[in-house]
Amino acid sequence: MTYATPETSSWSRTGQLSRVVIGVIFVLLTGYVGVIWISPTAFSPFWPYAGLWAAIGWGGSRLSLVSVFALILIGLIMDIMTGGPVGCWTAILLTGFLVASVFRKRAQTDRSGMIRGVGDLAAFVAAFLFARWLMGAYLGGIESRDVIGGFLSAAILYFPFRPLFRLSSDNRVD
Amino acid sequence: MATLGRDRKARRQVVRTVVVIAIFVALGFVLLQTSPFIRRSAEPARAGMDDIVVQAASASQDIPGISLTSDAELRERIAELEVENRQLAIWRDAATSMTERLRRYEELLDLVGEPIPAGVSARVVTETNGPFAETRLANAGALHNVSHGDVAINTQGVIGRVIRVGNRSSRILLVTDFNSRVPVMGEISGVRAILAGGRGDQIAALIDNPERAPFLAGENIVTSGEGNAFPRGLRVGRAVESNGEWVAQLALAEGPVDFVRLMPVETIETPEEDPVPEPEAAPETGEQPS
Repeated sequence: MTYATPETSSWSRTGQLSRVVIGVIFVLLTGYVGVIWISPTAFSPFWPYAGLWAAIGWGGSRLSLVSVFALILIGLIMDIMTGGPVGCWTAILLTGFLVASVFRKRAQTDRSGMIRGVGDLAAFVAAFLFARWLMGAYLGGIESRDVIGGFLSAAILYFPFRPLFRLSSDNRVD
Repeated sequence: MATLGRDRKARRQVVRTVVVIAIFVALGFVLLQTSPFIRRSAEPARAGMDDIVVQAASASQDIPGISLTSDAELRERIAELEVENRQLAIWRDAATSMTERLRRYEELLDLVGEPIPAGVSARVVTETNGPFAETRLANAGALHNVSHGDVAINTQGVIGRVIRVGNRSSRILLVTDFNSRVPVMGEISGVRAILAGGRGDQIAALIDNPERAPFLAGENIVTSGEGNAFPRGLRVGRAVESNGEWVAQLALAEGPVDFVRLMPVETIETPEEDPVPEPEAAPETGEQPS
């Protein structure tokens, strides 16, 4: 009697911690490339928002303290890099994480992937509104256009990278 | 099975509670930093981070293979620069000769000469246009005598000022930043205003115009030197009228921000309040001059 073993890719064999580490490295690498890339690309500067990829991806797939601490770390690094007040990016990322997590359970029972998509978009919108409020409160008034541009670029680029930020091995949350 | 489900639910609840608490703690930190004293305490960490980024950026640009331009472009650029260098050598000789002649004239007239501004040239290695600050990082810092408040200019004109200095890096706040304010004046009209950023990469608002007089369309906008933050006469842009208001078309947008000159601001000392005592008159001897 033989048993057929399911095909397993290298990615599916990774555990939660290694996926979080890979996500953190990817976000920091995006930030690094964004910072040293002097020539502007067609996209608005999106690298400060790259942390949201991790926040929303992790929040939508599995709730764990490891990812929360990783987001706090990414947030602190972003605060220092962007000249924002310490704690600001952490709060924005955790807001995205929290909103994405609200849709997590429903997304697992939805085969169409619609709820996951809606959840991700809702998390981006909530993070944008929270960020805009925080920036306005701290700076006293800024142009929303630039912030929207950055968020939209980050949101568009999130979907191709989404599998990288999946902490669960459940294909339904892809 | 039911116990496992309850455990998972409890764990999710714990994570959510931790996230909410962390958000409030982070907001508390943000609130605390409205105090300039607390904000300043984070400056050394930020300057250290700037140093790391500059070193990493410089290192990655030195790696062969990670290049944004091809070798052919570089060779072409080198050839152009060699031609330009030969032409500049002629101008250098002319300038040396004229400088000597000017020095002689100043001596003859007993004129108080203007000091030649010191400064250091640096390469801009990163751009950090985040939502909180539009800044650039240059690869010169305290070890190269750059200090807080130095003016950053390039071939087009003023691009900003140094707001943070690391050992080998300095962070330049661009004139396009929301927080940037530069006292300026029209070069021909003499109309004064404050150049305020936050209107995008191309233009800046001209606010607090005390004369309420119009600028001349197309005239250069230069620094007025008021407040001693910027020396007088540095070009910032051009005056243009847009939607019924005068704005400055920024010099910063006219070319790439790659190399900058970081210059200390030469402030003019305030004159003494008390007049210098006159030398005492010689005691009268009663003798009449012959």
